[in-house]
Amino acid sequence: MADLNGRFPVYSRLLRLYPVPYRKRYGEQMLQTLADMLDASPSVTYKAAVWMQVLFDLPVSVARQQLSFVGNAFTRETPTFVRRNSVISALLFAPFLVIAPINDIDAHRFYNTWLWGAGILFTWLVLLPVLGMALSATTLFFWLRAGKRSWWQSLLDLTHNWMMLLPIVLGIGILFLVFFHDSVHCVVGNPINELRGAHATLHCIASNAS
Amino acid sequence: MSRNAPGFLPQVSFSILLALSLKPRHGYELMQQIEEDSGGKLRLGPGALYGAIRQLHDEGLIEEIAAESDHERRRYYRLTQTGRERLGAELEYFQASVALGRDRRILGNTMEYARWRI
Repeated sequence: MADLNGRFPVYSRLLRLYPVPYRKRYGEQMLQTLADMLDASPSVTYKAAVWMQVLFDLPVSVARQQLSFVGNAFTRETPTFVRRNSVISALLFAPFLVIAPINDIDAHRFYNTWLWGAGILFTWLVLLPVLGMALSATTLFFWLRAGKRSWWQSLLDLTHNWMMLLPIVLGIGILFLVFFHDSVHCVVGNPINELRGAHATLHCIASNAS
Repeated sequence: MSRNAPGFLPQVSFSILLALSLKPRHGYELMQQIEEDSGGKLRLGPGALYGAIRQLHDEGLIEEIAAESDHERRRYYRLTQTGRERLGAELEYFQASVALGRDRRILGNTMEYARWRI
């Protein structure tokens, strides 16, 4: 394998885009098949045609394999704590995804009573996904640390674990919405403005005025 | 209708089963045989080939066997009994479809059909 990785460094790196179990099972064979195809090509033109075929084939194939893992987020190698925490993270997100679209209509009323009254519901709706994101990030950290591999390699290896990455992506989206998007953070009474200081307040006054 | 019903096997998977019906083959041999069987119309890249191999393997239609040569990287695949039966069922389905096509003057009577249309 080592010599083929050296012979095809680019393709070898591109193979990392596949889900880990798939790559472990077929990566070596795919490299060998590519070597066979190129060795059988009689001229430079044929070799170029082989490369074109392989590179066009790659994105579709990667997408298909990644998608095939959506319904099967965990593999046999996934540690138990990652499985358990991923499910908890997903559950923490569930109420927000269900209730937030309904709540959004009267969001400003809830902001006015941020900590008590009806606002407590909205507070938890924001906090639960944030907790979910924190749990995901912590689990991810310990998982990567347990693997003793480079961060970049480990993150690529995680591409098949959608259940783990989804809370993080959604969490970043929610934080962006609450902190930076005018439609939410400029609502009167949103305490995030106080956290962000006078600059944010002035920005909101300006944007509400316009 | 069940995904396992005849006629529902994807083209690449069907071609792999057909290519393995003669003898066990490794990846590149499979590619060559598929290209030959299809008259050069079906050329697969490694991604498409091994994606289909994975699916067929998971469904128990093909199996990996010990390498015939001393080349350790090459893995050979062969049809399982289930795979052979599935291939037979697919071919029978196609045979029946071809017969139907002939009865309805779609196949083998193209000129006659063209005259009839005129």
